[in-house]
Amino acid sequence: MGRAYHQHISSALLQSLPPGCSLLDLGCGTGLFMRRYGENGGDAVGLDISRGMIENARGRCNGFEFCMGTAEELPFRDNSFDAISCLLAFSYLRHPSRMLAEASRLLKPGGRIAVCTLSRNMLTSLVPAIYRLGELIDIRHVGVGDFGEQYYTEDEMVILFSEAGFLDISVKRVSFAHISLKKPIFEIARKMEPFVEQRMPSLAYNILVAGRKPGLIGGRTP
Amino acid sequence: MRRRLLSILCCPTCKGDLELQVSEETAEEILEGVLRCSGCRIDYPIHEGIPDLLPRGTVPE
Repeated sequence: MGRAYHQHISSALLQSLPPGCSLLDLGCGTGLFMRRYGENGGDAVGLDISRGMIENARGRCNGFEFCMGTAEELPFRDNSFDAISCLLAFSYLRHPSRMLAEASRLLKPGGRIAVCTLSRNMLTSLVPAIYRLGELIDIRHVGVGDFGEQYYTEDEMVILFSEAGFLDISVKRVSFAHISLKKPIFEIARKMEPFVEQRMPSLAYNILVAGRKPGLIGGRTP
Repeated sequence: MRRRLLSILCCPTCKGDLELQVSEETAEEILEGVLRCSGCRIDYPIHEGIPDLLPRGTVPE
């Protein structure tokens, strides 16, 4: 269940990133996204604050490199990566603008970033409970504090990306984006409850935000 | 970690160079060692092949 949810989000992220390049995955967890990225070639480095997660990821992603660290103070040199991904860990950052500034520093000119984060909407009040349950199936793998997650609107994410200097910013909703929220939340919640209990991670609304660092990739127009 | 990772690593705090000191290594990777930032006077450990570059200083709010 959690795997299906991850698969759905990671597919959306893959479409926003150049294939077969050098990737940095922030909050890599157990390496699920890195492994998928590597299916089309390329090289990846995973960063996570948790040693345990990295130990798991190393078993899953032979040949990729890993490093313990925090996304807000990244231990990599300028212009080191073609692409940066961040699945869900973004929601747990205390200083998201600092992470984006760091990501911009690390990307090569023309490099791309794609972030998937929890979104703020009518169902937001449900999400913390959902994620508490989500721990049971190992989807909440970012390990940053206790439920200190932040929810962002599309507009807030665009502003954050713009302030970090990214261009060509795109925003879209993934996972349950198709649900129309015209009814009062309690009615939805009541209807969804059995489903939530079984497939809670899917109910977390997510938005995918992608952008490009100014400049040309290897002298080519991106 | 493989040695090639060192070429893109830096101190998370000052972004300065890191000096590698290896205490155990296989043909493929460094298992145990230290990544030293001389500017911050901090040793970031490499343990069981995983470099720990979590910032040691106080993170400014």
